[in-house]
Amino acid sequence: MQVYLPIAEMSINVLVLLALGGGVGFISGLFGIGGGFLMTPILIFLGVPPAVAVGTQANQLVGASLSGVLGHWQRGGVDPRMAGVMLGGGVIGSGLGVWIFGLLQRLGQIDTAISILYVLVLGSVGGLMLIESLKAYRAARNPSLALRRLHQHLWMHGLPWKMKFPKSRLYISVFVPITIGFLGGLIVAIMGVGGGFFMIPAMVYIVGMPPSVVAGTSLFQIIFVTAITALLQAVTNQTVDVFLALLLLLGGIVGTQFGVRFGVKLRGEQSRMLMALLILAVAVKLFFDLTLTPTDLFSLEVVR
Amino acid sequence: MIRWLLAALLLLTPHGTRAQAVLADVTDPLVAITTGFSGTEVTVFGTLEEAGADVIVVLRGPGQTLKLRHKQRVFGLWLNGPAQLFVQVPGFYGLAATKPVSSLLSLEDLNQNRLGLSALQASLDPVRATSGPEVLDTDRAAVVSELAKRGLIVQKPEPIRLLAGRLFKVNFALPSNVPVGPFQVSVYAVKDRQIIGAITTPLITSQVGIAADVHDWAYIHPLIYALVSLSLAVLMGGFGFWAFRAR
Repeated sequence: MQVYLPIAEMSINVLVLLALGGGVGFISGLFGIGGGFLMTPILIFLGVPPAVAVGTQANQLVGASLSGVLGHWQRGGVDPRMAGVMLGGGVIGSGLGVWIFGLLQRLGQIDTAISILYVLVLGSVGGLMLIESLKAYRAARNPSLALRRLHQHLWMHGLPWKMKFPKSRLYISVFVPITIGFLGGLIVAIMGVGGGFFMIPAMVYIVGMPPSVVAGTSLFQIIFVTAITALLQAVTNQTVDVFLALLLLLGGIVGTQFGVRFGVKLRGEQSRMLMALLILAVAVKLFFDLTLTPTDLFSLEVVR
Repeated sequence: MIRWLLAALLLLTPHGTRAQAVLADVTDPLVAITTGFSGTEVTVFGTLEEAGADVIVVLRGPGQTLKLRHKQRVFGLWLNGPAQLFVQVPGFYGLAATKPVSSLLSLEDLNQNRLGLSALQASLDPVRATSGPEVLDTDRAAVVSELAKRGLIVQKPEPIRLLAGRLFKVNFALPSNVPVGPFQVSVYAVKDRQIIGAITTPLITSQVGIAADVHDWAYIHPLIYALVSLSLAVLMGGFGFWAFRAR
């Protein structure tokens, strides 16, 4: 059964979209991430114009993140003050990201830039996570290894403008979450993802937040950053396809529930290890796409 | 530009053209792109006044500006190289004839009327050509092969069969990614390597129904469209949580 997407101006099988939303939703429920880093490349692979894929994703992620965050909120897994401070950086990052996106689009390098950024960000985040989760896995099997301190004191804990975050049991400089939010916003606008795969490790390892509030706080913050990005994309570029977004969301909401239920059975370090491998796999695939001789030595696009 | 040229050509075609040498029409001049659209067939039919003449049918889509980029290897990475713009490239080009067009008309006539893939290729109009003639030729060939790969340029391999030597019918498959806008169906009657008559009828592809409304809102009232899209996503997200919570 085909559906014609009015903004993407093409038709796609409804079942493919529902399955794609469901599959990515399952993964995001499993790992507590948005899954945009999988969805955007797959949409582009299916023939959706990259700009429409990025814009639609932002809109879709608003609903997906909301559906996810409500459960965290009920369980007290959201630190609104931390999310608010991060959002301050996120809005600036998103604005700058939209500007960079436009600049690269005019230079005709947006698709290459997106690919290189995906390889760099996913490769380094995935690699770091894999190393860390392997260490944690070994430590869990061998308790005689030194226990980690509650959180480490690094150079950035000496920064000024300290603020209390009671929910996260932290007293740190606001510059740390603002910077992470800023980089997250930049990633949302340029890569068409929520940025959870980057922010969650940063919140755990750099900010030192307790794991119980990390996923909820990141999702809470992502709702607002993606909403602003989707609004900007729809108004300035007309790249939000509402049919596409809602179909992906429908599959995604169902898939997420199954993912969450399955995720309970996974241990923390196992789940992080699997997520690291998944992220690395996407990075490797995109790396080969960049370096292997393409079948088409030309690219052709319609100028509007 | 194409239309203007075509009109001029029709007026100027020499050797006593008679307008009635060929009559043709399309079964459905309005192609409605609805939510369920997944491509469609367009049927062109007609009759030749003179038995023994040949017929060429061309379906041309709305003119588009296309940007072609060469991929280049830089430090082991494949990057997009310099761009070449082509203007007024038909968004769809379908051709069918009773015989291969090169055997029906002289090269000059083919090029003048843009009949056949090589004529179409030669007619591609670059904006301030950035490269030499050989590179321009490969660029033009690349545009044609890319569009053919997308099903937007079709040269029917099987010949049109004439019923009783005069009646003809030909189908073109429009893919789901077909551009929206005014099309032109041109039918040429050919005899003794001369165009003895031609007729042009319009065809329009247009989004209708919900798909069209959504498209219009997105472009005419983008802010309202954006807010409605966001609200729908929020409602759906909230509903999803509630639906699974209730169990």
